[in-house]
Amino acid sequence: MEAINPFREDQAARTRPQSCTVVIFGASGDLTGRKLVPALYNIAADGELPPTLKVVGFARRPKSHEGFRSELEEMNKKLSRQGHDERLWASFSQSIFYHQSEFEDASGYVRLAGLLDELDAAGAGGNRLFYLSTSPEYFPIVLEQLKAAGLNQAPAGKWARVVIEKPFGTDLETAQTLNRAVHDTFAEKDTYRIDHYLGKETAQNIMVLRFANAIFEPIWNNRYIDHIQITCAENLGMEGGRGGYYEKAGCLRDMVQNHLMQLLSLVAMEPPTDLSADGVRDEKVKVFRSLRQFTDAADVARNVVRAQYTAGTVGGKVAAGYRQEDRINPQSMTEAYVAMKINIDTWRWEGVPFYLRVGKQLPKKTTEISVHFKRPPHVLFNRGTEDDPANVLVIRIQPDEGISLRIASKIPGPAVRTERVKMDFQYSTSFGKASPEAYERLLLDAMGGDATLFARGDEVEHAWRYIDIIEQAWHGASGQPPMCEYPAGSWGPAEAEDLLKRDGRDWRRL
Amino acid sequence: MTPDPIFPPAGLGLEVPLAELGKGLKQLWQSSSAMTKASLANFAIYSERVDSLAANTELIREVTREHACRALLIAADPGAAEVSVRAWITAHCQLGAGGRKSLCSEQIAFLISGQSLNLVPSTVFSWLESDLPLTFWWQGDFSARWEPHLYAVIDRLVIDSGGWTDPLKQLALLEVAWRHDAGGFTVNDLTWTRVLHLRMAIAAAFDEPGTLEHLARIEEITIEFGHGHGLAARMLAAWIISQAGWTLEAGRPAAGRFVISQQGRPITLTLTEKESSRPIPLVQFKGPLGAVSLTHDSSNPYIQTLIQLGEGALTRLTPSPSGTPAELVTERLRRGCRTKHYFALLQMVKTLLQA
Repeated sequence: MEAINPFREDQAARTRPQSCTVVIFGASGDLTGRKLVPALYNIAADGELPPTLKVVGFARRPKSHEGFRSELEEMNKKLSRQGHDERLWASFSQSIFYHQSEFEDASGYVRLAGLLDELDAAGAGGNRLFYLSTSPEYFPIVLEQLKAAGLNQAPAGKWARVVIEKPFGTDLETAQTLNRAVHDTFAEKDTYRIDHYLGKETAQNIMVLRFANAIFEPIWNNRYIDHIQITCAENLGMEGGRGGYYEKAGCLRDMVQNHLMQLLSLVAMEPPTDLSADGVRDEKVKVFRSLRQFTDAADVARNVVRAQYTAGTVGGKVAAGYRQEDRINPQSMTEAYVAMKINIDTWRWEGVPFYLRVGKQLPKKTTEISVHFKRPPHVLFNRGTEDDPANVLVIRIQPDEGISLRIASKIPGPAVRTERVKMDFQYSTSFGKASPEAYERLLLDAMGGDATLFARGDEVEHAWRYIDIIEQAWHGASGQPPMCEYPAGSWGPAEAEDLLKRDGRDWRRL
Repeated sequence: MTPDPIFPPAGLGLEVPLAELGKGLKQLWQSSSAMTKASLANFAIYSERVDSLAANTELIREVTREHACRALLIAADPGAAEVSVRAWITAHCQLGAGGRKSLCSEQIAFLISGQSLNLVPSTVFSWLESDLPLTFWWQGDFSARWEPHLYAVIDRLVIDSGGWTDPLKQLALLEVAWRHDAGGFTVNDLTWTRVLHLRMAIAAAFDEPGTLEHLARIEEITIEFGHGHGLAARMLAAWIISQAGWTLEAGRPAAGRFVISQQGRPITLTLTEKESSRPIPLVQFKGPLGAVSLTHDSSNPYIQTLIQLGEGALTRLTPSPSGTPAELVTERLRRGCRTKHYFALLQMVKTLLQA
């Protein structure tokens, strides 16, 4: 039996990172400097990072250890959540190393194994966390080379884990192929598929809201809820060269299959039996399995709207149309906006539609979930008016993270007139302490062996199975639904409004 | 004690007659549309020093950066011949996320003069925000005003036992009240919070490979403490002994030296006062395998852990704030309470104090 540190008083509530070497593949990419290293630094600043932890950046460009550290230091000065302390950086940066190799070069992995052995001998301890932050086409190559070099096998009593950035496949087939490649190399329990939305405090708070407050769960069903909306709006287009990736992926694959589906599953899942990784993920998978599949292209056309933005203005600035953006095909048929109606065939959600919308060049950046309750059975007040007395619970994921509840209240005065008012909870005003970045939480969990906030293989495949039917309808031989249009800076195409109007509903005004 | 000539100090805000306090607060919030009132708790500070209001106003200003609250400052002057209550109101504002809004916590300061025992509960507790918990910081030694009507409404009691003139007597008063109130309030001792980061650093040190084997064979523990932090050192020692499952032997071989038993195997504990601005500048665990040393230099914002077991050495830095009263309270309010655990430790602390 493993000896237990008697001085740990809070083992149940927190994941403790274990000493390991984090190997980042694609270390010269944006993510390493902008997110991963500042996240590790901030974990160190909180005193949570094991002192023997090492970080190895694996990339193609030639660099020295010192050169790599200097680049990261400059980024950390700009981006660290808790500022940059020279003394702490001096200590932390000594654990950072650089390893130059092509991803396909087997000898590079043999040399990597040698470096890792050296670091283990210097106290790293033998655990390894391989972080795949490369372009997705290199994922299988890196996995194969890790296996060939024997790096997927941890020494006795140690572990080797892999963290995989999104996108995890581009459809069901590629996701299955990638899952096979992963499972050929690592066990599922050692595989951590990142969806950074799950690392956000507000996403984690969805389960707390539902299952730690006795007042919500009894009404969280089709008896009381009319419908649910999930919105993820961005007020940016294809700036910074992102058009190249986006044109291939599209909004449905880039956002809906992962982030929005994960949010939907947290809202719709049944209470898990416990908070273990599989306890939670089993319930999420049940949601994905209960999604009512679209039957044909006509069904997709009825329930899913795709669109591209045309020229307009966003935030007072003139914005080009999608097809005029950098690295975008002028005849592009890639969607920059999706609105859809989803049905979940379970006792809890029968008859409660989930409406999702996500898009680029919308008026503002916001992600939220709104739960729209049914109207009171007999309206005593404001009779003869068109006021909507329904309660709405809003979970704001970003920005202004928080929760609000819309209720009706009497307007002061002799007449009995009601008005909608908002009870508002904001993280920023309630908790002065800044939330950790999503990557801090996710890295801590991966180093501590807690996969709760990571997607499991079957979760990803179920989500792709649902999305594939839409993609096939859009790109099939016949009956393709139209590509709608909306001016940049508007809230989307008229067809998205119609999607709700025909059900007697409206999108929530944001 | 009577107020000095420059009383009231700047920063207390607007003096308002007690009968018009509610109206005054309302006007405070109506005076600016850019202010948002934020409140998660009632936070009262009680002191029997009239000059405490200025320092405590500054303290509240710092605490409200993280913990929005309705702050109630009470300076009591029990020696005054006449009973009187004066009140001042103000707000402590911070910029919200993105610098957009001013988030404000309101403060009501009371100067309560006279001997009537129930003046504090009757005056102050009518100004609590309903439904919100009450954190009550009793500054200094307990007096006759520490009585059941007062502590019955407290959810969280903050004390700083390190500043007490007679810790054994005060701890006894505290324990009697806690048991009388059937554990109705939790206890947050800032002296205990003062060693929080050191406890975290010790816990982290024994996560490292080989250290648990070292712990099983430890022969000597040394704790050095700065002037005025003897109680903190004893609390830390009691925590180490209790967590490790050891027992404290009766009697001691020399001043500041104690014997701990690890299933019959003796371990020497030495508590030594040193010249230091840090409460606990050194904790060291020595044994045949080597040493685990935690040092906290006055110039270093981090606790440095040095693990020397066999060949090589490992160092680790654990952040440790400077430990001002505002920082300690802010840190304490972030965390949950384990009052039963605290009182259980106090039994051993009393032995360490008496020995």
